[in-house]
Amino acid sequence: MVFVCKKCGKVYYYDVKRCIFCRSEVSEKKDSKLKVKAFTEVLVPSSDHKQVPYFDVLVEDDQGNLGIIKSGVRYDVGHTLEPAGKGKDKGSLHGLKMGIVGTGVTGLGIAEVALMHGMEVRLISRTEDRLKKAGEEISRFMAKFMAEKDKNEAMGRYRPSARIEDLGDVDLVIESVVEDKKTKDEYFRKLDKICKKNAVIATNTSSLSVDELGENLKDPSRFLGIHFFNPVPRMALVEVVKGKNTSEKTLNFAVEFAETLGKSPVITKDSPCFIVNRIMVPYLNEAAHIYGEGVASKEDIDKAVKLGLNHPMGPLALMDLIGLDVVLEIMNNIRNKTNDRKYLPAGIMVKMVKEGKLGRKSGQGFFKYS
Amino acid sequence: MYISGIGKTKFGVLDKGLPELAYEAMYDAIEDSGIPITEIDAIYVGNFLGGILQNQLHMNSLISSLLPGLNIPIIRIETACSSSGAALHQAIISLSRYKNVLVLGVEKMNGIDNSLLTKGICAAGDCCMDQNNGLIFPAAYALVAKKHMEEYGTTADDLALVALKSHENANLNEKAHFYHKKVDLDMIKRSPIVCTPLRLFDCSPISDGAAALVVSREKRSKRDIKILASSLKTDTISLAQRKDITSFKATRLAAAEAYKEAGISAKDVDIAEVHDCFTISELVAMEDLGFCKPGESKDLVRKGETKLDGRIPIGTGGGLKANGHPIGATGASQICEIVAQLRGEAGKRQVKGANIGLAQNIGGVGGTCVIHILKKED
Repeated sequence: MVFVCKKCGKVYYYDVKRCIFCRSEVSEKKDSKLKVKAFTEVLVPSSDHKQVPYFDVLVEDDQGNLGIIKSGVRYDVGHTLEPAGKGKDKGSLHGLKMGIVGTGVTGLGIAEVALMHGMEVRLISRTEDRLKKAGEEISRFMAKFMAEKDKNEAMGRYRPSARIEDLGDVDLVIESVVEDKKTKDEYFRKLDKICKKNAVIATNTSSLSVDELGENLKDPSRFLGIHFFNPVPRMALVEVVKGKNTSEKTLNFAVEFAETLGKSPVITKDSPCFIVNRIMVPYLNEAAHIYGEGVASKEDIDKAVKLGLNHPMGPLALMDLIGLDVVLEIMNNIRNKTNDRKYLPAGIMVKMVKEGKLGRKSGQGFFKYS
Repeated sequence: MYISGIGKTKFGVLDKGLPELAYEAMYDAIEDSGIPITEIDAIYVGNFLGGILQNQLHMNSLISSLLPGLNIPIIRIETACSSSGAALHQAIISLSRYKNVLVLGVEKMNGIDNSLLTKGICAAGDCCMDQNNGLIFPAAYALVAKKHMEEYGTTADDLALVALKSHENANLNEKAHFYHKKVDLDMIKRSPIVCTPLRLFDCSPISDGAAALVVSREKRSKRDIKILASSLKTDTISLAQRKDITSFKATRLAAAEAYKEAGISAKDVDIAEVHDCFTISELVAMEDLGFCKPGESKDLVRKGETKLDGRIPIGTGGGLKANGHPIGATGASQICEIVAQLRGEAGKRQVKGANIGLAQNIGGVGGTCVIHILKKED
């Protein structure tokens, strides 16, 4: 928290290296326990702190130096806090050894966030070439947010590998490969053999059944869904999916893990598409219907939702971002599972996928991209 | 050195933009002084948020655009909420070279999404220590209030009295943000909590406005008000970088220097404008300026000593709390109020027999403090 001049004792709050008064060396003082001196409950949001209420706590170390800590929970005056390590987030799993299988957008996103929160990350992909590119992407991303020194330290905890067998000593594995049951089944059968008996194994699936995927494991009590949203570093939500066999211990671990990453977890049962996507599917489908029926222009549909429901992005642009093929697959999945006609994909969407108009990735979806 | 002209726009939620506000205040100050604009040698502009909210920097050149063909030196000064107080300080120093200098404070704060605005104001705090921890300005002053209450037994009711006095004064000031608003204690005490223990009525409003001053080396008219002292001190940007948060060192140091320069002591001050961005800030200022001992500001307030007819009237125009707080304009606006009072031109809110006035303008949570002492000459 503070830096002190070895000779004259001046206290600095920034890493200044040398004292401008006496030119002696300035070194970081190890954090002591912190005593709560005062707190205020903040009820007005600001753009970087939208979620209220929160607490700002004025703390004092054993030398009488003050500090400010943002907290989600209230600490009364006189309460003692442990020195802030990685600090701001609630969870305590900094330093966790974890594995990620899959180097798609989500897999990389999880890796970035985990590295930024002090975890050791094994990233598994089939090819060395892909891993090399992934490493470059992660490094470039982190450079935007971290000082060179901190980024290098974080990259020191990045262990890419093309061998899934390297996940033998991690405490958590998150699978984030293609949304295809057969492929996932195969990975989980391997992971069940490779991973430590007490390691938690999780899937990032958005639409497959957690219970069915868990059948690949001898002990499904250590299995659950940890569903992130893209872009992972920016989206605060994590759906923690409790399968019928998931143990309380596994569930609590996943919640703690999400909180350590600074995310806000919600707990949901294993049910088709969980919470967010289940709401999103009929919503997107309806937007496609409205467009297909010629009720309004594509621009006006998106404008209406943005301004009328206060969404940051309209449904048609969102489908273009996710990819129409992906949306269609999710819809078909949920439709097959529930047999509910309300999830029957709109004709226009089926047609567009057939024509290869998949959204941003193909250059054309509802809108054109160049 | 004298303040020879003052000009101030109405403060509040206005439909004018930054240049229009600036122009109006300058126009009025020039007219009030009787000194033609062509005899102004330089302009110091105080503005805080233009860069963030309007994406308008290069403020000095913007002001030049308002004064076709003048082409004089113009410089923008930014020290957060004390920007135009600091601009006046610079203007006074510059009188060794110039004869007449204009000081302008201007801010446009309305018409911007509230959460962005709150973030913008946070720019006056340390980006890591304060901003990343969500220590918005009301939160910082809430911590000051909590400690003040704990150490000295100050209560929320005392803060309510400060707010009430400010609103009463503003009701006598046509140009105040809350000129028309009728406020009573019940309304204050029932207002929503912003950051415990501070309620909405403990906070200054989001105002647009501008204020301008003509500062001259020589006296030309009887209405000119003498500048006895100008002092600026700084301190750490974050509250967390101090040892004591119930008092601002920058204020204590600036006050000591200003009193020495003016050759007076705190008890000689007849009226004061203090930086009451929050009600608690007024109490802290009263103590730091030596109007009372530490912890005793609440007693003055309870006895009504800071009202217009009290021993030391404070915030006679409504203060930041009710006159309004267009951040960059506040320092200059405080001087406008003191000058109007010392000239005996303050109308319904005129304090009788006011000879010496003090203005205290703070940047951030006490990171900058500018103090000016003015005197009516016979």
